[in-house]
Amino acid sequence: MSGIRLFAMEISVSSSNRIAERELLRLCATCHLTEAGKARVNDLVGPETDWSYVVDWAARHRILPQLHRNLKAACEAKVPAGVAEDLHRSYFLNASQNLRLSGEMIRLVQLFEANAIDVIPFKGPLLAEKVYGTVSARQFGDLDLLVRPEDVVKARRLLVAEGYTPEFALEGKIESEYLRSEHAFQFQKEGAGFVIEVHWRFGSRDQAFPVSAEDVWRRHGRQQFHGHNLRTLVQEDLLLYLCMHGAKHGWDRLEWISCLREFMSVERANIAWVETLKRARSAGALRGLYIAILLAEELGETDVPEDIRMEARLDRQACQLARRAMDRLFVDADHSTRELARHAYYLRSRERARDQARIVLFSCSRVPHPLAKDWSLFRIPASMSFLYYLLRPLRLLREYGLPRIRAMFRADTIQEGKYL
Amino acid sequence: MITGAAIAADATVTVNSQAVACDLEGEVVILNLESGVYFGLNAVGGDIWNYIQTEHTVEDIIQHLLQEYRVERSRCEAEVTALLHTMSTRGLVKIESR
Repeated sequence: MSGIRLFAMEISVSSSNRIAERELLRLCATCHLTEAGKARVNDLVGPETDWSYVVDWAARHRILPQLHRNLKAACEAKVPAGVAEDLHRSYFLNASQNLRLSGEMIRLVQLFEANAIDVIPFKGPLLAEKVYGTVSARQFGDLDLLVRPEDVVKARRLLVAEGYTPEFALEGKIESEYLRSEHAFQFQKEGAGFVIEVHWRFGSRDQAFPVSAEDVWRRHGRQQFHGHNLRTLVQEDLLLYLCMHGAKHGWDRLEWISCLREFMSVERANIAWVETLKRARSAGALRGLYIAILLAEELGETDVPEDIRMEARLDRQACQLARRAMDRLFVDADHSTRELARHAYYLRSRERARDQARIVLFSCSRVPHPLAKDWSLFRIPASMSFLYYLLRPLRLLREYGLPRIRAMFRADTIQEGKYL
Repeated sequence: MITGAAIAADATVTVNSQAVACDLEGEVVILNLESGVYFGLNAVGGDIWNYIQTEHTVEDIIQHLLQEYRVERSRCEAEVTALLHTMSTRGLVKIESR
């Protein structure tokens, strides 16, 4: 597919008329609607509401619990019985699954600690509890556990002994290369319906991720969770993590924006903004922070100090990227298009040339993910794994095509504001 | 641990660390991590659950409910005792006599 065709396709999808449904989704992404918000939701819902569109996009944006709660609070009688029933069922299923995940998180933390593995759970149940006050109010399908790099292999053995299957097997040099360049392993258990993600850093080498695991280990905090005192990221680190995690994924989920906004509100008395700005600046994550603040404001008032909000509004690139994320929220795109768009977005969300250069350099030369196509296309003995550095650019060219890659970055840098 | 129906007013009640709970439209759902069984509490039961997230005596719970709801003391006492007994046998709370 050429860049021009791609551009035209996305325009046609985004210009279709679902204006009321999209506004409804944006409003219902928030944790608690204001009175004015409830009145607006009530106005937007009517006999002509396309409920399959609303529910489908709410599921994609992981805001089904919020949609259910907000519709119930704003206009319960106007929601068709079948839709209300589906939302109620999904709310209940999500709550029960999240309780199971919470239990598994506690169990795994205890298991790791009993085996002398320090662990910091983050996102998932802890974030839901902190931000929404209850794990039922957030959709999540995995557990993220940070361990020290030297404990990764041990943690993997423990999870395998617990019946979890790693997403792939690693050995020898490929394993050490993977540990050096990547940031997490995934594990699944048959029938469990969730993923355990063991991290040893917060982003892979080619993301030049600005929140460092070493710093987090040095200054982590604690969070009470149902009678358990668990390690967790301090609020400034968690804030920057959420900002850059969103940027890494092109902010293409409303839940990430809503969660961040709510987090800033719940933690308003605890977030040291001066320190946060200092850390963001020194890590090259200032633009990422500004984008996140601007996006949060799109959903309603925020608890960010006025001077910082003003600084964010004065950052032209941050404004453009925030606008672009909002414009893309309901754009349908295939997987590879979305991945390329996310990558380009993340690259532009980093303000320092040296970080951008590192991202480009390591992206082009990274050793492939063990499940990536590079491995099946070009099988190479472990001892020759260095050759993958050379093969990745060839695979990227083969998969995406030079015109498309060129169009993606040209559109990103030259056709400012027009690129979807 | 008290397992019988008789629970002293000054007995302390704490939530078992093997129980995790979440709010569900005004009610509370609790999962016992050991047994894997879910339990549901109505709004009043949920209120009690939230109240005992910090240690309280049975008398504290009764006083709390008498302030919140219009209910006779004898009925409140009987229902609280029955609920605590059930939750204790299901491994959701610990009740300890002084």
